[in-house]
Amino acid sequence: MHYGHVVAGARLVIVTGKGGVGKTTVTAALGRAAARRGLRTLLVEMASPGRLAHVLAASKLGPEPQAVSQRLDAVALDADHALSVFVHSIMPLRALSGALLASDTFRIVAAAVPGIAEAAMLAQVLDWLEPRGFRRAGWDRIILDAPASGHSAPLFATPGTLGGIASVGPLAQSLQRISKWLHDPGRTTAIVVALPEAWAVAEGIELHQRLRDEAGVPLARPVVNAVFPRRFTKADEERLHEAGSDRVGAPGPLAAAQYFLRRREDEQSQVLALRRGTGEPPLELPFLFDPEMRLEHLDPIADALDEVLP
Amino acid sequence: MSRTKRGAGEPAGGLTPGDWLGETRVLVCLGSGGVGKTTTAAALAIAAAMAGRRTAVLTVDPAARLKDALELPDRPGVLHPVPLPATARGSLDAVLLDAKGLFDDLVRRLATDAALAERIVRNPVYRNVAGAFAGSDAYMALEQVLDLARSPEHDLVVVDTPPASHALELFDAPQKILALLQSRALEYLEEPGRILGNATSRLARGLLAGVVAALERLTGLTLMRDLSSLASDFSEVAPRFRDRAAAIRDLLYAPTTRYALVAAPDPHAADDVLAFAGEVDRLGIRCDAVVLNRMFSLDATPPAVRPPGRRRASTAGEEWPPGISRRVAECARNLETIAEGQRRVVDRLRDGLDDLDLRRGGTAPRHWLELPALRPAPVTLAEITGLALRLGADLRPNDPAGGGAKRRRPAG
Repeated sequence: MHYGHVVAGARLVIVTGKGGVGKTTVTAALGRAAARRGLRTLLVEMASPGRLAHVLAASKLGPEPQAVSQRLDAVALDADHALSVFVHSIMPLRALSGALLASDTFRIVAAAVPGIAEAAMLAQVLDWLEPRGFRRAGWDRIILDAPASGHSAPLFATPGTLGGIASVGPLAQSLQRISKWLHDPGRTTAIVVALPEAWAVAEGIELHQRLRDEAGVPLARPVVNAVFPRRFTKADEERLHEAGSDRVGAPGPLAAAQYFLRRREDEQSQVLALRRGTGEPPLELPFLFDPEMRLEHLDPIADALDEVLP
Repeated sequence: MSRTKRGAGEPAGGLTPGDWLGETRVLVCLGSGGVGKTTTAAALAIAAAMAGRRTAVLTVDPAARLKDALELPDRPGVLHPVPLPATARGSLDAVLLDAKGLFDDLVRRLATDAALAERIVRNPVYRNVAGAFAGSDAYMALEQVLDLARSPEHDLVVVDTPPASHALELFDAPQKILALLQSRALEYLEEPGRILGNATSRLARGLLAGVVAALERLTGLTLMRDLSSLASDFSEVAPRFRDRAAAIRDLLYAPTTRYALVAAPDPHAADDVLAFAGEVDRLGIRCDAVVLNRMFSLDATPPAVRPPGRRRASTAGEEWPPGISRRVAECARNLETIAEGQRRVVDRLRDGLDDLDLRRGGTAPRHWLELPALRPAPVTLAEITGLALRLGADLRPNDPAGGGAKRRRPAG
């Protein structure tokens, strides 16, 4: 019974970062963390179809939310589908919206105008978050696995880019609603994910700064994914350094342990760089050595994430 | 046609990219985001230049990572010589894509008169969206590649493609932009009466009027007016644009244009890589080189620098407290798990790509290149050059196992 349930923390969580940093893993772990605390949670995949299902060890996800585990649902948003839902919602007359969707002109405009698909997908997400009449909202928290390819973050730029073109009409209204959500620290939090590696940290800093200073999106602490664990005490480290090398022939366990030390040193310097660049202490998530992905394997990550997002 | 001046069979310092590049004039690096495409493209270009090619490398990543690494000045769209080690037998120029500026230039170049060009370039819709048309970065990259490939100053153009989750974007871009800008549907917006006059049935008239009205209602009037005037202005530029797009398409499918698939051996990415390769394959493009980037290797990390005085053999570990031995062994197990996971990914990639070939009805050799995961990651020009030198050393003409997937897969 969650009637009148007060949701602590953000209702819309946007996980973003450069490709390959583990956004999907972080999204899934955040979902698991929220569901464990009793929040009805929906995970939304916005790009790289198939990834989320893989990480959740679930069957293929479709455009309608489906149950993954207790209180945890997932959906793969499809731009075309979201766009047609969007158009139908704006234009009450079914025949008219149908004709519009079928028209070449609309297809071309939709393909050409950047952000219209993103706007449609966000509008769909907000519909899921907001209560409708007497019906309460379907989910307490929605977590987006949101792409940030290259230097553009189209998702966040959407209200601005599109807003410059459409200043009146239902599209403009919808954009204003999106913009309100995206800039409200009481409702929305974005999390930038990076890897403890030079390029990824440089881009993580850039993205964090841009979201904060240009897009004005409320941000949680940045997250560094896949950080090697600390295995040795200071004294042990000294011993390992002094032990020389067993690299004669095949590298042995000693070389492996020394690799751990060097790698950790490099990674920690990257974590520090991210901290300096963003002004926030990054949250470190452990490297998962087991390549088999099962939902419960995300628990160490989910535990760590409880700290960054209440 | 200018051909490469590669000295056949005499690779410099173990570098052999010249051998597999053969007659390649354009080398396109494909791959989904986050695999290290930019660094890989730079390393391939450096390796080719070291081996004697007069090489140009184009990066389209607006995050300007390659810009920093290649010590490029802050001017997109301008070729800039990259300093290479003295042993280099060729040369390298780098250029950073400037999609917006190039688009303006292109419109000015293709427009029949200056006033028309200015009208297009100043159109608010153009201003808002020209640099951001879906695929416009990809299109402008290809525009620039076409210019570079036609210039006699370079034997080889290495292209770093825009971060796209769908390879299709790159190949679709010319058609998509053409379709948008010369769409008759858009012309009708200028004068909806024109099409209404042609439509005979009342139902058709009603629907068309409704569609136009609905579009205006959806978007606000300004968009429609600006779009339609852009479309009508552009219709004058369209024929030349179409020629250009056709030339780009020819270049993409030319036998001297080859494709390298860049992949990171991340256990969770294998499906993505194969999906990407499948998409490329459906376009009739074969990736005949695969660059496995960031392969785990203990050797990829320089050994800890310690005074050699007090060295002991690894067996000395037996004197250590039991705790540390156990943890040392755990480290070794963890790293073995990583290496094993990567081997499995590579096997899956080999199998998947071989399957694509078989479905096409033939197998040709595919070059597998490896780049090690260096720690710290290479960020400076010197470090990327170091990576390029390793690329040469790791270059293998074909699957060293000889059989590839066919042999590994059980018959039944």
